[in-house]
Amino acid sequence: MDQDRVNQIIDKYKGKAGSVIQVLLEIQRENKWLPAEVLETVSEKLGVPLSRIQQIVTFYKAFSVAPKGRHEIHVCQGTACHVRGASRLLDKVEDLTGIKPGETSPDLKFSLKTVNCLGCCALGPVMEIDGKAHGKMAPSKTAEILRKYE
Amino acid sequence: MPRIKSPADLEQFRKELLSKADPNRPCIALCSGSACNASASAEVALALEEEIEKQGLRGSVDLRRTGCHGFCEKGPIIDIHPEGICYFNVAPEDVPEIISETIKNKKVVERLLYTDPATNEKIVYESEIPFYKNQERRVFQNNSKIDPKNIDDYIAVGGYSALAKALSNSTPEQVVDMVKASGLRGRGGAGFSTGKKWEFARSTPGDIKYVIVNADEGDPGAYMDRSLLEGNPHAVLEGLTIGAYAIGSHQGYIYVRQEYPLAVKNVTIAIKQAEEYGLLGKNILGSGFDFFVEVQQGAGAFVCGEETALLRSLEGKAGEPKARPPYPAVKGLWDRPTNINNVETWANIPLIINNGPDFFASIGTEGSKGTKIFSLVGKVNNTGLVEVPMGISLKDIIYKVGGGVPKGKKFKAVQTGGPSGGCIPAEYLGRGVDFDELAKVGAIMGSGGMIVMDEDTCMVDVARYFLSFLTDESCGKCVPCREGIRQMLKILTNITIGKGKMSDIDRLEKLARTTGAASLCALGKTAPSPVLSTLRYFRHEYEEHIKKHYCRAGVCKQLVKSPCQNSCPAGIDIPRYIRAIGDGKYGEAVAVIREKIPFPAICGYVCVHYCEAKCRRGELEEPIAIRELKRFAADHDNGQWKENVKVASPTGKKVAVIGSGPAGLTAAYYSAVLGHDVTVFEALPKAGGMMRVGIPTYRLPAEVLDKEIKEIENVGAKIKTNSRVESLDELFAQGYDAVFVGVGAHRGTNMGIEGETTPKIIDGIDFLRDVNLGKEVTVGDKVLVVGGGNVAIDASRTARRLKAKDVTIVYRRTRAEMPASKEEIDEALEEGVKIEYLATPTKAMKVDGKVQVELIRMALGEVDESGRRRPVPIAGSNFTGEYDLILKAIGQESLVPGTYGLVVEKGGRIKVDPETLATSRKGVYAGGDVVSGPASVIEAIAVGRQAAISIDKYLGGTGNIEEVLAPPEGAPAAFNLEEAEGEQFRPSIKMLPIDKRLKGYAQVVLGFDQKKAKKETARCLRCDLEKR
Amino acid sequence: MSTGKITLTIDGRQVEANEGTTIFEAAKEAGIYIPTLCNHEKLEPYGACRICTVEINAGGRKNLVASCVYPVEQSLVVTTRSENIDEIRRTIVEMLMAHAPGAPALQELAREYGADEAAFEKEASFCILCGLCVRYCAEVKKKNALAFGDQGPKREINFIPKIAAKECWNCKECFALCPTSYLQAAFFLTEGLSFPQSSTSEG
Repeated sequence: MDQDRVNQIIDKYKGKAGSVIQVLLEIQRENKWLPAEVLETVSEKLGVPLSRIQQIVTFYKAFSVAPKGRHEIHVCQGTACHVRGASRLLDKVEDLTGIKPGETSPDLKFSLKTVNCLGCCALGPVMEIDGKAHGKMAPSKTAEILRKYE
Repeated sequence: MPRIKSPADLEQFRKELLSKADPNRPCIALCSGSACNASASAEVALALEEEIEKQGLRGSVDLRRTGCHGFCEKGPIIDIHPEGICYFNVAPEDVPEIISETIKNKKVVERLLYTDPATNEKIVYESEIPFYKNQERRVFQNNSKIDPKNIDDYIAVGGYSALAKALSNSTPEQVVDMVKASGLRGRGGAGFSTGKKWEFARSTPGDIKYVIVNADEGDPGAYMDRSLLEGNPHAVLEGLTIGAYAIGSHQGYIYVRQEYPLAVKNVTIAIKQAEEYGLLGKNILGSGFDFFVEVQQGAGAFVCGEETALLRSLEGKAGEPKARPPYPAVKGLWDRPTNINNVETWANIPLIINNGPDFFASIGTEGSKGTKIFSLVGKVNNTGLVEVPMGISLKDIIYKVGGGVPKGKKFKAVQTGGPSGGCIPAEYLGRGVDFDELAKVGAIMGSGGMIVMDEDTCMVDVARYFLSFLTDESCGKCVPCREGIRQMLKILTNITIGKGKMSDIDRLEKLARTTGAASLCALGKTAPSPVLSTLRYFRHEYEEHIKKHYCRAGVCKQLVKSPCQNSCPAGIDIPRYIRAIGDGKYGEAVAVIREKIPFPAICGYVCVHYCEAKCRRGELEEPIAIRELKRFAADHDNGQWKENVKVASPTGKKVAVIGSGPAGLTAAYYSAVLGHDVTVFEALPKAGGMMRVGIPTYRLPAEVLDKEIKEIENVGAKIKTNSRVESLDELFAQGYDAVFVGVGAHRGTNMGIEGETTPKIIDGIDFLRDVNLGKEVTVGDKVLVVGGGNVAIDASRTARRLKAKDVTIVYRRTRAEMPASKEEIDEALEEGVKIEYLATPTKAMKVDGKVQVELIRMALGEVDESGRRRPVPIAGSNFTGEYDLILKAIGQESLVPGTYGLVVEKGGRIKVDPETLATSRKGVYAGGDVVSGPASVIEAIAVGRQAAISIDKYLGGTGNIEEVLAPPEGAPAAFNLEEAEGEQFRPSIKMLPIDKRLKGYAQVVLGFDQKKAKKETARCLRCDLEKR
Repeated sequence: MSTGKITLTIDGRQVEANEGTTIFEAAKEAGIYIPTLCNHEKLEPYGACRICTVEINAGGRKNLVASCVYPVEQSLVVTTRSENIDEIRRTIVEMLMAHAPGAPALQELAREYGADEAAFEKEASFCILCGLCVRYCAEVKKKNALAFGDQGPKREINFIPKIAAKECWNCKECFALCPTSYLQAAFFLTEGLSFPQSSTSEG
């Protein structure tokens, strides 16, 4: 991510006490991950010790300090999805992508994550790809849906 | 954009909005909440816009994209105003018809209406649909009426009038008093008095104070706050502003979890619009009161729903909770007095100010006033968001609003309160839901998540799931939570993979004590709750996982080879024998079956097939016809299993078996194979128990029964018929070392009506026994059969074969509740048996040579603890009938001679140790219908196996009855994916034509031929080969 | 800050303390010993180890709280040893001994409370996450060379290589604070693997 864009985002929040998490969230959203240099820049410009930033980016699940795939697959493991067979769906996704939750496929196509409750419980089990939720997911439908992503 | 400068301005503006609106103009309110979005409501919106344009209706029809309507199971949802017509599961393809038919022609599109599953009626108006009708939507009502992105909609329905009222008519202290008087308690889970909390913050000195909306809704399964914030953000803002005024704060924050992008978006738009109108920001409504609001997002941490962790996050730190005291009202955000409330709590405030505290407190219970929004999800028909008065029973929420448990499955528990809560079993369904009632049974109401669980849910797995969630979400700062939850998870995981020990339960309880008492925050303190509540009500499931490596729900993958095998009481390796049949190896298939039961053919003809109810294929089209396949194999057996039966050398011990039903004969079989000297004593002239005298021969041919009973004798067991055993002492005196009592339940239960002993009222069981033993039985022309189980069905079909012209079964509930197997009900109806539902006899008397019966009609009333609706007589609905014969088949009891000296319970059932089957007398074991009440052949067989194990151990043996009768299986053939794709239903089962059936007792179900059997085996998904 | 005096009872003894002090401090002043693993007089109370848990009774309302962060209240009745408290301390020590069985502080507590070293399966991380190192560097030295990382059971402490390379060799004051001596090992590991190439530890 280029330095100018990072500075732009930081400047938007400059001076606001406690804005470091919001800054990092915006950078994460655009860049999909947080390189070390970016963390140092944020630390310097916002006057927040690097130690706190390091804790923040590893504490909160929204952040990634490793490069991510082009497409993010989130499989909901909420209770309602769980009782409707979410773990079988996850197994199928793992099979088809070759990766486990927390991993990125070597071709950088998919990153897989399990998430706790997307809030579409009536449609369980739910799988979200790039923010688009797919409800009532039968494992047999998974291959067809994943094929649509480049 | 006009700036609203005073309360009078606001009123004026509202009047203008209302006068501009044409109440007769059609408005299409399309739900655009996140759940409907996931069901493609955005595409429906596009289609609507296009179609409205296309049909030239722009300007004469309003399209309003509203927030969540609540009935999420059936989205996308459209409400058509002003009529209130409600369409469900709307797809873009439906749109042209909706516009032409409903908007233009004022006609309803039937197929998009709600269908009441009980009556099959279509319901047009939202207000009549049970899901909505049984709610009390006060906070949620505007969600389906307004576009959350348009502040004018909110103002038009009265929005911001509460704020105007508060600012102009009340002092801040008066506002606090109103909230106190209302009795409002926090809706986020802790339930602290909102008014009192505001008072603490109000009375702490300081110029800088903060008010915060906690929208970090993290309980899995709960999404009430999301829908409120997405669908009616102004209600929350208005409440927040009133609260800020009351407390003396000029800066507010809305902390929304970043996983709710639509909520973030809509509330940000709402803030902007409110500021533009002067309803937020400087000098609100000209009152001189300033208040600003910012949105901050969470970054993915469940613990930030805890208020002190939330504050740390707002301060740009890791979400680690902080010790209290000091409480946030004294020292909160940046050490300033802070008041944090949940989204739903804030949304209730305008209602309290507008309608007064008394109105708010007019519903609810003593300690919990107002309404509560629940997310009713899981194994329930009508999943969605429901708003109900506090105090409503769990039963009413789940059954009246929720429509009960789908697919006819049995309710098991309802989980409330998320990871801090507990599981409530059926016996407490009558409890009212509020802050205090559920706590009494080990759960909490929590923030509103209500997850319904059925027989296919494993409660041990549920506990493990919540611990896994919390392990992942613990901040990790304090030891009891970070380490304690993790250690509990380890124990639970071991239990679910078959590595648990009974001492684990003590270890769990010890960890629960420390984690619950010493953790820093509520996450850790309440973490043990799901474990403790499942242990309290479902301890037997834990013990089954530990002692028997058995998961009765079929969930714990390491313990379940396949759902069918798991649900078979005898544990038959079903997928394996199905594969063998597919390969044409019928003898091998029978050998596999024989490894677990001595009656493959009998079960193939009459088993109740619990396996088929759990078959995964059943989730696609229909279950595999497992029983038919078993029968096919048995009918084509080559007897190869016999080569591998190894009867042990004589042990010198003598075992007596009383009763030659499936329990007794199975116990005899395995005891004989173990080398004991076994004699079976049967009181009746023929052996077989209920298989012989209860099941008619058109279902189970005598030859099949005889052949399999012969095999029992072939391994050395002796069967003595016409030999009633009067005393056990005598048996012991004769040198028997152990006894198994399997005398069954051969006496019909009385109906308990006046005239019970009238001649021509006979016991259905006695009737069937007489017919099966070849006695002459006449039934006359008109027969009434009372009851709804298999005995009633068998008796009625037998009566038809005995030439009764008019045979009616009368059952007090409906077909859906009849315990008899579906296939047999259908066969009975095909054979001309009539069934009168919802009626029951009240008295009988002799009239000429017949019986006159008075009956009364029933209606299904409230749901009882079994989850079934209790039948209630309808006063004045009596009617009479005259019959030649009445057969009662409403239940069965046992007759165990008192001389046996055994402890016996209600219904004559023998009391036994549930694991060993030992009775109160040393050396005497019992099982089957005489212990459980009427059950099934396969359950009796499973009992017989256990009896043989227990008896062998008692006699000094190992109790090992495992046999290897089939050759080792090679690598199974690869699954043919092509064959497996697409919908495939069962091949039809050949049946005897109806006219031939009634002529006698010829076999009715003729089964599969070779081709059909092979085809059916290909449908099997081979669940046992799933990687584990 | 107010200078009001509070009277409370600790283990049956009347104790006077200034308003704003914690139960732990008040007890210490009065010579009553309460064990701790994460508290240090130079640092803000942390409330993480929970070993200092005591029973309090405030006008009939009972509770179990961490004494190092709970402020003294008028007429509070505090009990520092009981069956409940001892079970809690014993269990906490057992949990920590899974990670650092050899730590002298833990062994001493184990003897006092009858903890079973083998109660939980060993997972030798050697760090008990008392946070003394991170907090000392942040609050006293103000260098922030150490950070907490991750969360939940994966929580850990890390030296920040760029900062540690500059600051630590001439300081090392946190080493003495570490109850398990893991800190030294962590430092040298970080130095060996992650310090920037241009700086090496001289001296």
